[in-house]
Amino acid sequence: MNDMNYPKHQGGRDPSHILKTGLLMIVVGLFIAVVPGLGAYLSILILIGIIFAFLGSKVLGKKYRRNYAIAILLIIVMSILELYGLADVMTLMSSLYGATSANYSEIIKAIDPFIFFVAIAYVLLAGSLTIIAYPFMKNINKAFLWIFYFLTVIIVLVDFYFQMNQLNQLYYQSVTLNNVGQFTTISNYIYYGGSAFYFLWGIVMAVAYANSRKMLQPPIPSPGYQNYFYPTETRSSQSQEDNNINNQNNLARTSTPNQNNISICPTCGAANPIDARFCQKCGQQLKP
Amino acid sequence: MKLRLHFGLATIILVLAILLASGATTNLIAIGSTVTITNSPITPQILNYGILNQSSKINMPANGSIYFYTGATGGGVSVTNENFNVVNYAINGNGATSVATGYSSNDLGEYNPNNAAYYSIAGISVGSTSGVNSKIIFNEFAFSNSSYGASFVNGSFEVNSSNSLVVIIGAASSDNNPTLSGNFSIKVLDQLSYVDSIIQAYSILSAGKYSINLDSTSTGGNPNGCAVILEVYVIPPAQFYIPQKYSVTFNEFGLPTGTSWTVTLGNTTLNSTANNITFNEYNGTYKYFISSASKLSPSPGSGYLTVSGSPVQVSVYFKPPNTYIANFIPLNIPSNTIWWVIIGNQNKSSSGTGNIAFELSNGTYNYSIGTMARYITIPSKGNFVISGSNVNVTVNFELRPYNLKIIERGLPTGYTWTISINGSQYSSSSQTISILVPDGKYLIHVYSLTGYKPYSSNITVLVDNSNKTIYVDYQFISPANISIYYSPLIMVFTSLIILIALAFVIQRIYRGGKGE
Repeated sequence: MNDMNYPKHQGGRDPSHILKTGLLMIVVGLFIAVVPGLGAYLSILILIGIIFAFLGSKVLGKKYRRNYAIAILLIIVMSILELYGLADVMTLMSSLYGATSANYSEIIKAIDPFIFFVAIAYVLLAGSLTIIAYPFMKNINKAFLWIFYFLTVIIVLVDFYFQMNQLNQLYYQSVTLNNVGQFTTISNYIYYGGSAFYFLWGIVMAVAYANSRKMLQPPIPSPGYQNYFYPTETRSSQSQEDNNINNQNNLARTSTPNQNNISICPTCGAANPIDARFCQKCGQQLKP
Repeated sequence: MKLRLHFGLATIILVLAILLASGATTNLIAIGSTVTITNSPITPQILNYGILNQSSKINMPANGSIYFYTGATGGGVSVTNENFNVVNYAINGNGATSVATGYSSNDLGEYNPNNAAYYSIAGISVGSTSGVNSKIIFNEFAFSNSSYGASFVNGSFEVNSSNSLVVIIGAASSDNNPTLSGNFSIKVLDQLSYVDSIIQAYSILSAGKYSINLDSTSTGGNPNGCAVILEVYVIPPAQFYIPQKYSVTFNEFGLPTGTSWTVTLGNTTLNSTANNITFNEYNGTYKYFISSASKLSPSPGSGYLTVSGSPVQVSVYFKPPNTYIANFIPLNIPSNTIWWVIIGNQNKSSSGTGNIAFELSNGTYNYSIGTMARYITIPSKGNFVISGSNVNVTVNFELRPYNLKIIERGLPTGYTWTISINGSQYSSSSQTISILVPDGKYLIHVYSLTGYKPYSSNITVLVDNSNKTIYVDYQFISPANISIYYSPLIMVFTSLIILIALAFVIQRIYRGGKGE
């Protein structure tokens, strides 16, 4: 991608590039998170990716930027919940260190809340990812996005529900060689539910990333931007809130390398002729 | 009597003097020969080897016995072979002459007395007890005089059998030449002239009483008052018989002509359709058994018999067996209860408290007893033996127990659960508790256990003329009741609410924008 051909952020770094990088990190993070154990450490990529996406969302306009801020908020809450649940598990592990025997009641008192909070964390993560991916989904994809939003969470919840039930069956038992295998199986199935969640979302976000690459392409030199501002092949089929992206997209494609030819609306992000005093889309007054 | 001796060392000559009391006969026997005993009775024989480290063989018929009298100078006597039993060391020499007597029993044994420094076989007596390894006991007479200044010792002894070998050993201290005398002919084999002198002699004597004297004053020396000892061994002549079998004949009476009958004697079983069955056996005691034939019982049917040097005849009488009563006596039988007894193909029943009787001959019988459905009999089957007398079998009647099976549901595998039935507790780590109970009404109390409790703690069950199965259902006491965080349902419910709420928020933030 040629930065020279692209509207740049005030800091000089191309926000769409940051956005796409963020999306790519989310995709990679999600697929890595599929792997139990390794994914737990590298899933931090998802969080960093969302932060990148937020930083790059300037290119999408104010509304998207606000939404991405909400996504960040959800991720933060999700992280707090996970850490809270994890703290119980860590406390349990430290209490079991050096122990020669243990009861499942002690383990379940830590694991059950962990599952409880992780389930909510997955919901929040799904919401956050939905917000991130939403701008890059066309209508049909949006429908799938919502399906995935519910489907992935329901898969996790069903899995967690059954595993939690199984785990609770051990509540009154001591840890023995006979039942430790059962506990391990339950733990594995909890991992499998999470892995399925991450994998499906990895696919969704990969689609979003692919779409973003199309939508946020570098500008193509053209005689004028007016013909590309609302391209006929997309304008009729896209919803209103997507127009910002399309505008930006089209603008990027049609604008000349000279940035003085256009004026970006600070409110809706629409590209306007350099001499326009008001935004041709939302009517916001433009700076001279 | 016929003896043959073969000796291996050709350079050494042995002089054997055989003296018979009835008439002096002298035979020369060479050292190293083999003596084979072929006849009986065997007259005692005297062998004087007088050599060092000599050996000879004596071949004996099976189960024969041989007796040795062995003397040695210059050391102790040791007669070694795998089966030689020393009866007596007459004098355990201390640098002086030693003698030993012993016996051995063997099949064709080889005896090799070659450990003495100087030795001579003073006498051999060979005998047998007709195939039985019994020992021939010989008489020993010992006289001594150890008073101060003792110069002689004398005594008398008795010979019970003619042709007995009499071996005489005398010892006197402080005398070089003690003299042996008696009212019979004495053959001195060896006389050692030391400070402590020993004289060996023998004789073959007829039955009777004899006197003997050892005088240590013949040299006129000073006897110094020490011991004078005289020992006399009377070895009776041995009787040897070739082991012989004798007929043992069983003669039957009472069997129809041509009927096969069987006799087992010891380990041998023979059968015949003739009137007698004959075995040939050595002397001894044998167990015999005679089988029934043609439904006739033998008398005697079994026993022991002894073969002792002559044929044995046993008469066996076959006759119809006597019959006896096998009486089945009911106890605690409820009124109007039908019961029956089956023995073989005989089936008898009763509807009351009366006995059921069978007429049976001697033998072992299996029986089975049956009764009405609500009752059982103890015993219900078994066997008894009729052996010359009537037999009573007591039959006890009890209410029939039914299987009350309690099956738990809902517990994990391996959990031990407990119930009480009419106050008696039963536990199981399997799924089922089974008990046998008669008809009746039972209260079952089901105990809770950690994490599980029964849906119903008390169950009443009626057992009425049939087995009964009931189920005890346990419910898991979920930890979800302890904290909402342990509840999968609340977890799902909470998550779904957040999921839906979040969906609305997302929808709104993308679809709304009214304020923008």
